[in-house]
Order: sequence, then C-alpha cells, then structure tokens
Amino acid sequence: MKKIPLIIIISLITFISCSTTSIVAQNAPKSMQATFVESYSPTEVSIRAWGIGSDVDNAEIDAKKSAIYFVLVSATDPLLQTSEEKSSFEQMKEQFFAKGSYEQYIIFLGADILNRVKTKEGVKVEKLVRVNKEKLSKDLAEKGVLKSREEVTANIGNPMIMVLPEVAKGENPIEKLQKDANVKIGAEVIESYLTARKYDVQVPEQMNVLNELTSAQNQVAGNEEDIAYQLALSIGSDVYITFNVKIEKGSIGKKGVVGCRAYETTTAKLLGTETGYSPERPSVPDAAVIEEAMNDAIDKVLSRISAYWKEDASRGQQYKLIFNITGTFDDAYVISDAIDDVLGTMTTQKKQNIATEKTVDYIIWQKEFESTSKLFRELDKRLKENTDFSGANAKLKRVNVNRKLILVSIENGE
Amino acid sequence: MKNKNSFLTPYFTILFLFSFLTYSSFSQKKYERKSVTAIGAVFFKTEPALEIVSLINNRLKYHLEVPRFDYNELSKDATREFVEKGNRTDLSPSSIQKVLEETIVPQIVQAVNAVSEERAKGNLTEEQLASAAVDKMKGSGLTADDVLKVMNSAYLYLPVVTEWTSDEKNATIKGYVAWYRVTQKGNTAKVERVNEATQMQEGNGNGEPEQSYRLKSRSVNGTEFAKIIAVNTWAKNLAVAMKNISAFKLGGEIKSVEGKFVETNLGTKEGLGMDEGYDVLEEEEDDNGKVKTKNVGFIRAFSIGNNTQNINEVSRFQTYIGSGFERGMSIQERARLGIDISIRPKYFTCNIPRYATPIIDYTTFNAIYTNIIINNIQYYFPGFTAAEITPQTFDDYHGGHGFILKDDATSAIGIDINFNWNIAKLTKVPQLFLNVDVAVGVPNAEVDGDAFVQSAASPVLYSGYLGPMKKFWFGRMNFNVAGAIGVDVFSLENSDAQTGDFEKMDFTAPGIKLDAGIEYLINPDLTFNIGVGYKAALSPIVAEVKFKDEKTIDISDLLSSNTFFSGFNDVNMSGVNISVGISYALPSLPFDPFAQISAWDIDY
Repeated sequence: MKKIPLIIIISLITFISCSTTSIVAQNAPKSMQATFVESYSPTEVSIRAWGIGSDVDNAEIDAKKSAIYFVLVSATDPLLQTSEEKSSFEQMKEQFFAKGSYEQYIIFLGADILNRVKTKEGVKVEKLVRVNKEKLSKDLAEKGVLKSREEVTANIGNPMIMVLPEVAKGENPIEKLQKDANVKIGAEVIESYLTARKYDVQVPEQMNVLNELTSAQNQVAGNEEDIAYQLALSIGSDVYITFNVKIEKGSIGKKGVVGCRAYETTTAKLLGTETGYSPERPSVPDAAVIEEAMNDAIDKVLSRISAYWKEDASRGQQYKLIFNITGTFDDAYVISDAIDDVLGTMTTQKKQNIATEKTVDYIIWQKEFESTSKLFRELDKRLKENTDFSGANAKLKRVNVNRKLILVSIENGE
Repeated sequence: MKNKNSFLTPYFTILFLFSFLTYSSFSQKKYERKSVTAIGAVFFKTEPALEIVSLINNRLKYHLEVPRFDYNELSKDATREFVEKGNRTDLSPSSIQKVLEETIVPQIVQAVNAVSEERAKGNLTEEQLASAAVDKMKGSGLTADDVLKVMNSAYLYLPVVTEWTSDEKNATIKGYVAWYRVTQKGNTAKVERVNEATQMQEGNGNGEPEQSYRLKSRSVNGTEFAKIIAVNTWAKNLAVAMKNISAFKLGGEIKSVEGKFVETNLGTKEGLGMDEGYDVLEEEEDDNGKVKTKNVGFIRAFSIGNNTQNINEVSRFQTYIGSGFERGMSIQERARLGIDISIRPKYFTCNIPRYATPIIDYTTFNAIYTNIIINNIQYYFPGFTAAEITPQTFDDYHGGHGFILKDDATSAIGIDINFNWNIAKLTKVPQLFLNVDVAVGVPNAEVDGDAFVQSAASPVLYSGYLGPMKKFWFGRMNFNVAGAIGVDVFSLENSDAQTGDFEKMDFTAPGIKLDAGIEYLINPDLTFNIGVGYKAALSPIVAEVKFKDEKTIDISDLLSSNTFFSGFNDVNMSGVNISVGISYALPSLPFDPFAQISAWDIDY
C-alpha cells in the first residue's frame, strides 16, 4: 500500500518535468527561416520570415520569432557576434521568446500572408516583419547578453567616425562633398545612421589640416595618396568611411548604386565593404534612390564597425604613434630601441610598423591614460628617464597630437 | 491567296473606339490588373454581315468591358489603318498579327506607357507600400519592375465571326474572340496570340416579326429582336470564356474566417459580383518537399466590399464546399454563365378522367355539336323540337371504346427541365433565382387497347412556369423554396389521322405552384436535388380541337355550358409532385431562356 503514494509522486514529478520541458521547448522559434528585405530606418529592419505552426495564428507567432532570431543570429551581420554572446543568449532563449516578451521588438507585422504552405505538421506562412533592431540590441545589453556600447566604450569612448566620399587622384573630397548634391545625400544618410546609433561623426571641413601630416607621412611608406586616410588620421577619427555614389539610368527609371567602405584609421585596415543597390524606380529624384541604396549598404557596414569596436575595445584605446627622427644621432637604432622599451611599459599592446633611421611608426593600445596629452606627457617623462634615450641626448618635440595620432619629432637635446 | 470570305469591316473605327488594356500581376494571391484594347474591327470568316457590326461592338463592349480591366483609347486612324492594311493581306493569323504590330501596337504601347506608372500603383504590395511610407522620396514605392509588368500586360482582342445566319424569325451567330498580348522588350513591342482564349461560342435568338419586344430604351420587332438576342447571347458566352483565361481570372487572399464565411480582398474594384463562385486553393508540401496547389473548397460571394473607395474593404464569401479554411489561402475565380440547368424526373398527382380523352371523328363531333345547339335552342325555346341524334354522349360512342384511357388517371410521371437564372446581382439578394420550368409528362393510366383510334398517342401533359426561387445554404446542402405561375396543357394527339379523323385536342389551364427542395452540391458545378411541391391549377380555360384537314375549333365556351363537354372541366392538374434530379452550372448556353427579360437590360 505504501508503494502507491510513491508511484503517484514519481508519476507526478515525471509528468510535471515532461510538461515543463515541453512548454519550454515551445518558446524558441521553429522555422528560423528568414531573409533580409531592407534597412527600413536607422533603428529598424524589414525581414521576410517564415513561421511554422499548427495553424496560421501559431505560424505567424513563429514568423515573428524567426524574424527576431534572424536579426540576432542568422543575419549577415547579426547582433550576437561573439561566442560568449551567443552562448549567453542560448541560456535565456526560451525566456526571451516567451509570450509577452519578444513582441515588443516587432514594430510591424504585415497583414498579407506572402506565402502559405500546408505541411504534414501544420502550416508554414511567410510574413513581412519589421524588427526594432536598436531596441533589441539595447535590451539585450541591459540583460547582459550583449556587451553594451556604454560598457564597450567605458574606457575608450565612442568611436569617432569620419565620412568622406571617394575621389579620383588629385580630386578634393571635401570639395566634392560640398558641390555634388548626390554625394552630399550619401553622406547625410550615413551620418543619419551613425548619429542614430550614437556614434560620433566627424566631417572634415578643410584640407589644410593635412599639410603637417602629409610632410611627416611622406617618409612613411604606404598611404601617401590616400587623402581620406590622411584626413581621418589628422582629425583623429577611430574609423573612417568612404563611399561612392552612382546613378544608373534604366529604360524606365533610375537606380542608385553605392559603395561603402569602412577602415580602421590607424592602420587603414578595411573593416567592411558593401555595395548597395536600389531598385530601378520611375519618376523619383536621384536622392531617393541614393538614400535607398545607401540604406542597403550602410547598415551592414556599421555592423562590421560595431563588431570591430567591441573586439578592439578590450585592448584599450588605439593610437598611431609616429616618431620622426630629425636629430643627428650616432646610432638611431638606440633611440628606436629606447622608444620600444618605454612603450612596452605604457601600453597593453603595441605593434611596430616601421623602424628606420628617420622614422619609427607604431600602433599602440593603452588603457591607462584618458587623453592623448597625458599619454604624450607620460611618454616624454619616461623617455627622459630612459638612460639610452637621454644618453643619446635626444628629446621629444610634439608636432601633432590628436585622438588617434601622436606625431612627434626626436631632436638633439641642448 | 486571299480568302474572299474573310473580311475586316472598316466600321469599327467609328463605332468601336473603346479600348481596354491592362497590366499584369504580382503575387498569385492578388489579381494584377490588365489593360485591354478593343481593336474596333470584326473579322468575318463568312460573307460580312455589316448590319450587325455595330451590334457586335455594342454587345462585346458591354460584356467584355468589365471592371477588372483598364481601358485605353485607340485613335480612329490606327483602327482605319489596321482595317485597310489587314484587308490587303491573306487574313491569315500571322498576317493579322503582323499588321497589328505595324498599326495598332505602337499606339497601344504609347497609351499604356503614358499611364503605366499610375496603373502600376494599383498593384503595389503591402510590403512596397510599407517601405515607401518611410521614405517619402521613393514616392509611391513603384519600381521599374512594377511598371514593366503593366507595360507587358496589355491585351487586345479581335472578334471573329465564323457563321451568321438570320431570317425573319431566327438568327444564329458563331465565332470567337482572338486575344493578343502586347509585350515590350526595350524599344521593341510585339503581339502574341493567347491560345487558350480561342473558344468557339454560339448565340441564337428568335422572335415573332409582328410582335414588339422591349429593350432598355426602345422596342423592336421580332426580326430585330432575334438578331439582338443572338449576338447578346454569343457575347455573354464569350465573356465567360474570357473570364476563364488564366491571365484574366480574378484571385484573392482569404483575410479572415468567421464560421461559414470568409473575407477576401476582392471587391467592386475588380468587379466582383454577388454569388460569383471561387475555388479555394491551398499549396501543399508533399513527402518530397515539392509544393503543389490543391483545390480544397468552393465559396460564393455573399456581400461585396467597396474597395474602390476604401482599399481595405473586404468582401464576404459563403462556404459551400470545404472546411477549415484559414487566412492566407488563395481563391480563384470559377466563371460561369449564371444559369443552371436542372433535369428532374418527377412523379405528380393530377386528375384526368377517362372521359376527358375522347377520340372522335369530325362527323361525330358535328353530331354532338348539333345536339348541343338543339339543346340550347330548346333551353331558350322550350317548344322547339328536333330529331334526336345519337350518340348523345361520348360513352355511347363506339360501344364505350371512344376514349384513349381505360381508366381515370390520378397521377403521372414526367420530367422537369429548369433553367435557374441567378438574379442576385440584380436584386442584391444572394442565391435568388428566376426559374423557367418546362415539363412534360404522361398520365399514369392504362391505354384502352380497344380504343377506336389505335394509333393515337397517349395523352401528354405539358407545363410552363416562371417564378422566383430562393436557396438557403448550409455547407454543401441547401433548402430551397420556389413559387411560380404558369400554365398546364393537357394534350391528345392522333399522329396517324386521316381526313376527318380526330387529330389534336388541347386543354390549357392556369396554375400556381409552390415547391420546396433539398440540394446537395456534388461539386461546384453539379448539384443533386430532391424536391416536393404542390400545384394549384384551375380548370381548363382554353380548349381547342382539330380534325384532320379541318380548321382548329375553339370549344372553350362549351366546357362549362354543356354536359357533353363538361367532363373536360374535370381535368385538373392540381396535386403534389416529387422530383429527383441534378443541376449543372452552365459555362455557356447557345440560347437565352430568359431572353425577353434580359433584353430589358440591352441598351442598343
């Protein structure tokens, strides 16, 4: 007789356990099929998502979940980018997709059912879903799934991004930006996306800032003719975006074609490149198709920048450090060795690009100093304390110091 | 070698200038408007009948120019040029096509392109509209593809008459409409024949030359009426065939389901009409992952949404076949003529006394008739006497074998042929029909084997009734009630009469009837039905008798005034009837059983 209550309890536990498992398993999206339609606005994306369910109502719910899942995981540039983020989201996935939770990210669900297919299990439907990507990102950051931008930038600040059109050799990009209406529209769309996502945007207004840098850079192999690179470096942006804009005439209307590239300023490393197209549209101004094409491209490029920034932020603030050895020294390499030693004590990571008798070029990352000036002063101080450096009768002279660039010359001491 | 019987009439240029062109679709679920252009010419493969050209144009315009299309004007010059150049060719399809490309197509292209953007807006999807909303600079959200669809969705048609005959009372027309699609690629435009559209149709009409028939705005004589009805019937059949061309079929999406009703995005803009039938389609994935479209049900328009005014208005459809419909399923037009034919064997009760089926010869009739006259004189002049003539009654005639029937008939068997014209579009009452019911039957009684005239056929009962019928549907089943007024004719006929022999006798009685029935929809076009009814008929009010080689004698007055004939008054068609049969929704009908009523809507 005593066995009967025990059997009942075990059965109940088993039942509850099975039920719980079953309920939990129902929350996650089943279809997970979706395709990107367009970047609807700086904060929203339109997705065509399939949903699976026992009936249309349930399939539509699944389509909404699949659209969100696509933005989070499956898109070309998903919100969840690192394995930690993905793992963290996996743990809270069932809770995230519970009723009453995920719906807040759906801005719009199309009334039309784009496609409907009956299956053995039920029905599949395809719907147009618009997801508030920005809110999704923000909320997941608050929940600790995503690294929040504030968290990422706590030490190093928001990335500064410069936007500049691509130009032919000898052409002035700033002039082009000011005179070409289509180029200006392209820049405005990019800036609109950047500001909506709280990036600091820099638009160079004049070319004379380049002069000093150009002469210094002339001795450095590489990007002598890349004006955008030089401008970005000179105004201290973390990343710079270059773009080109083209209007193609069709038999019925016109379409916009844009190219958009993002570079890490200090190294001119390409972070992301995308080409955006608008459909051919009749009776619309050029600006309309440029905006549409740019929307298509910039969202993806910004995702790459974001991913880069997250990764790079862990190493601290990045600088380009150029030592122009103008003095006369018996052994210039003693100077460069001393610099290398000193930088080793001040940075989280350093990378020497060039070391010649005249120039030493570094990329450094540091977390210790909150401004470039402080960094420079500390560098100066430590070099003075360095016996090899001071023994060679060398001293630092500030030429140009900004957020990304420390350009100094090394002269003979008095 | 030019076919001399073929002819392109030059009259369309003046008479038939409307054109309708359209654009093509986006999703399968939403009908994409087409534009159609009437070339304005009629192609006669027989001797051209110029007198009906304007009639053909008028009727085709009425029946083919429907709201699902957009229309473009074609200049008189273009049509004239087409006719002139066309008549200089051998009139073969390829020659016609070539001339079209030279003369008409450039105008169509110009007309369509001028309005293509505006028309394409009507085809924008919800997705496109949503996208356009965020960026006002995109304008309407139109893309070049949308405009291209419009530019490649222009159709034009040319009526082809293969046969036309008419006389004083009758007219017949046969032919089809040749449809062409205009396609544009770059700066080149051409036409291609739409093969599925070429269906031969027929129309017949008749009328009594002396009689006057009412049209919408005037009356015509029977000869003209016959022509008008023939062409109108032909055009109606062509319109149904046109609606069944896959490019022209209306389609929509089920937006919501509420009990036995579904709502869809079709409406007045597409010209949806009450009670029009639609198949419900569903895409289904098989075991191999292939998607196939299945027909899963049938619905009819119950109330029409005015989506011309409000794009979000929906129309309600009632479910007839199928269940478990869901949002997202698509529906597709199943165009039919709107006339069902019903064939129903029936059993009915009646009263046909044996003595109402006499077979007498002219001599006997005259003798009896004389007696009647004598009796009448005696009635008014009691002193008058005359020799008695035998037989005094029909019973005395031929020793009691002067009747066809051996016994009185109290029941009969027969067959009903009904034409049910759906008048929901006219009355705004769904499933309301106007029935024309013609029936024939024979009394259920033994024929006297010793009857005087062995070759005489059994008595035959005819009837013709007209009245409304309303159906109340519950899924595949309906309960229907119908009322009608009409006449019954009891007829005796001797098919082998010799001079002076009895040849024919008819008794006509008016009546009203009330029927009720149950129907089961076997498929969207075929219905099984069982019916019961009661008919209340008066005694015969018209009676005629005819002897071979003699004039027809009206004996109506004798039915109630004389004992010799008063037996005929006992003929009574009142009684109940039970019928079982099938109905078929006609895709075409070469004649119009409701011609005199439908003519009221003909504005010609």
